[in-house]
Amino acid sequence: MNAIIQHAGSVADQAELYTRTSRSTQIQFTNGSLSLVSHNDRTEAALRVLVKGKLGAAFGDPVRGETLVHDAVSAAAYGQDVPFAFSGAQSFESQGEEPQIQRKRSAQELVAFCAGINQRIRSICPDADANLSFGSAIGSKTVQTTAGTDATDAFSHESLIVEIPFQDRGTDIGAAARLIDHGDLAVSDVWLEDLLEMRTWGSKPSAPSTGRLPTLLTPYASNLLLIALAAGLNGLAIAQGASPLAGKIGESILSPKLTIREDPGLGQQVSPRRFDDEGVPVQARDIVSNGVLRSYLTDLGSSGMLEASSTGNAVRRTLFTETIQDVPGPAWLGAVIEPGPTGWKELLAGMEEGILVTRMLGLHSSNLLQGQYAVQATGFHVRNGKPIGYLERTMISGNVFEDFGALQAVSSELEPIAQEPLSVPGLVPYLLLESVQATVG
Amino acid sequence: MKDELRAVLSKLDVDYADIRFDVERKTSIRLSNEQVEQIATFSPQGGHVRAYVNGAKAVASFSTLEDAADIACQTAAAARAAAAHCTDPLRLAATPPIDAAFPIETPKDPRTYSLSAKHELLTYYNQIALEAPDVMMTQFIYSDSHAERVFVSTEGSGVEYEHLISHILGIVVGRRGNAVRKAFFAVGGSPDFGRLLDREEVLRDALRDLDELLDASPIEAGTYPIVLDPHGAGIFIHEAFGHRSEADLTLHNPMLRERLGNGKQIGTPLLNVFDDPTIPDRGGSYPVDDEGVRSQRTQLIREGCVAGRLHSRETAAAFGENPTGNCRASDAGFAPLIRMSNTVIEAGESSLDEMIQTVDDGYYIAGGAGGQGGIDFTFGARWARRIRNGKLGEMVADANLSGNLFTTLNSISMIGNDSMLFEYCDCGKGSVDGVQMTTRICAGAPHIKIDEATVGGVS
Repeated sequence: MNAIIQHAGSVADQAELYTRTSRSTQIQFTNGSLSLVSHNDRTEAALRVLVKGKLGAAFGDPVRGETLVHDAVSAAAYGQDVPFAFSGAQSFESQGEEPQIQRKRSAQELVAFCAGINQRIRSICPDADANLSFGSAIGSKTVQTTAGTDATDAFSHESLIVEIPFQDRGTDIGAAARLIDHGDLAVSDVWLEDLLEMRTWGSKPSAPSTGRLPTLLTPYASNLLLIALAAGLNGLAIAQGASPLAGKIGESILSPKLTIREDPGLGQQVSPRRFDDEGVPVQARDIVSNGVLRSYLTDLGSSGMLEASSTGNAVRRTLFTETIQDVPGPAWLGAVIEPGPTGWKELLAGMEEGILVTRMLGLHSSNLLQGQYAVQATGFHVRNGKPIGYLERTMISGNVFEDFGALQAVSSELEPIAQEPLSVPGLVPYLLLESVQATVG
Repeated sequence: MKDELRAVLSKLDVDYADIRFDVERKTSIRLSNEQVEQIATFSPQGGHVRAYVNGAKAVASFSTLEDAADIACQTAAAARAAAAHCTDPLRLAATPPIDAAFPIETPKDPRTYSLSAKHELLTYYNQIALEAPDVMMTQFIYSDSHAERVFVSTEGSGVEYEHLISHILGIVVGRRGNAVRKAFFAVGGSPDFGRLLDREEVLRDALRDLDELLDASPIEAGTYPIVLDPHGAGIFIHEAFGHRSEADLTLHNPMLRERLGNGKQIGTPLLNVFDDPTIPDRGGSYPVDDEGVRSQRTQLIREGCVAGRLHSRETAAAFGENPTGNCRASDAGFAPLIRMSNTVIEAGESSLDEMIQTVDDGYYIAGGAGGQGGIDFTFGARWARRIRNGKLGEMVADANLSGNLFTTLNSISMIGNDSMLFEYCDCGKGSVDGVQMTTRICAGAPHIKIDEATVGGVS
């Protein structure tokens, strides 16, 4: 047993130690020139203790274990009784797949890789000044408790973001695409050609008329649905009656074309998980089946309030951050929106007049708990199946449960999304909504 | 520590290098309804090194002082290796080295108050919220943080400085029928713990707004004339213009550099905007930035024309301008990047009544609930009120605004005579290391009238 958890167990009734180590490298090319090499090497620990049923916590470097234990026990003096115990001995053998850890590539390898991408872009499109950001990370998350949990999930992933400004530079966006995988990322010619084709869509701004418009969301924009659902499915909001989804298990809440699973152990996830941040095994299950609500997301605290078992959805994160200091709370660990039968380019080709939304600004200031959203849309105006210019001064707004209740189609492609600020980890398709309120200034 | 870090730098074969080391102590108390969600203390520490060789840059974060020498050597080697691929060399604008200490003094230091006293204060506010009608969920968070930072550079800087802040944030969720709405309570955001005491009226005002908001209809989407209250106007100038005054966000966009060049008319001649970290005791106040550059006031807009921008040493060199002392890092896990400090619209001459009277059909928009800014920007309001025929009417909910930098600043037609700085606020900005969420800022403004703003809402 780890010395910190052993010491904590000797002065508290129960203890839980969460440790995260990560080694990451980022390479950035700006306008084709290498602008930054960045390394980040961190090990951090969070200790929670229960003393006479009261919860206390401390965070810091595991090297200073004595301080962690002292601070957590001192904090517990002011805590209140909590309706849960830390997780006990667990078996993870049947939960998901053993994460495959790739070798972390050296900075020199990454620089050479990015320089190669730059050359390929230039060979297809000589006037394109690409901005590249390549990240490589390996690490692990460990949860140990005095009740017998001792679980470690390792992770490794690489991500590449390429942005190419539109030729007229009339906006601060441009053609942008992202690849993310467990490691040893490969960039296909098709991927690069699609990116460079997108650049031609942004030769000028084009404003649709204010009104309700068919709207195609890219996987990153489709995250709107998962983020809003995360607020409504949150076990704490359910237990406190604040969620409009409270008491709606078995009821239809979305389009019958939507089936959404929580499946964090799936090998295709960017960071497959076998247990959550409280050491509880994750559960692969339907959250929404053909539009019908089947399950909530809970952690130890909210499941205690609901007098049920945790669904293994505790995550130390907020909408923007994922830090050791964030309180564990219910969230998606790996959502999967089931794909449909039609490719996204076919969905786009079928739009007479509409918008293709690639990104949303200001999602966090919406009333997401109630499903309301009002955001600035980034993307393209579509006419006769073709993008004819980039969006300017376009807000889209509405209610998630109404707009995704009238879903027209789900694409056959799924893209992996990592846990990042304002995004939910998972495998997400393009989603075509029948209509969304667009207001053009 | 300063001497140890200087000894590390002295062994590096680089054009320039610096090391920043943070030792921090934080307290966090989180209440949700009657429950204590978390009482915790944090003791993070760590360092960050930057090395430049032949115009190439490498940076690294590390956890312990013992790692500093090895990490610094590796970072210097990475910068040397990167130089071969650097076709657009980085330069650093000159700045005088500082060898000084900047301790913080405050009348009511949060470190002198016990955990028990902080817990009692938060519980007191939480209880007021829980007793309000139709409140179903509360979340009250007390946070304080004290950071001791040491910055040394190969140019001879050796700076010891502190950051100290305490604040309370309350989110109160009410439900009446199918309507679920939120109220916000945010006080503090400075070193002075006294700003957290005796603030019941601020909370009771927010609860009164929530009570009215629970009966309010959603705002109607469209384009309207609006009057922004000082809080909303502060968020507006931060999101709509402030981020575009950060030179790193325009450096590689020739169109933006041209349109935001010094002297270019960007807004109404009524508009004057500055950024000033030397204003005492605000969220964006500090004596020296994380590149060892002294803080200073920077005029950003004068009579509607661009008057300056916010710089790091890198962007100042690229623009041929002077560093402004705006390069900051949340903590040792991040490289510093250009951030606003206290960003302010200067007061004008109009009264609020005069502004309201000029609106036939529009909205009064109050408070800020977060936003995001680029050439296009957006932000959410806490509540809004319809204006018809020059008179304030009923409250409406779910108001979000968006606009375009170049059209909206020209659409400001009146500026109020009632400027104020708001309290606690964080700002996030992406960097290669992720999003720096915890950089404290502050904004201030009078009421302003915008003739045409895009409002998202129901159809």
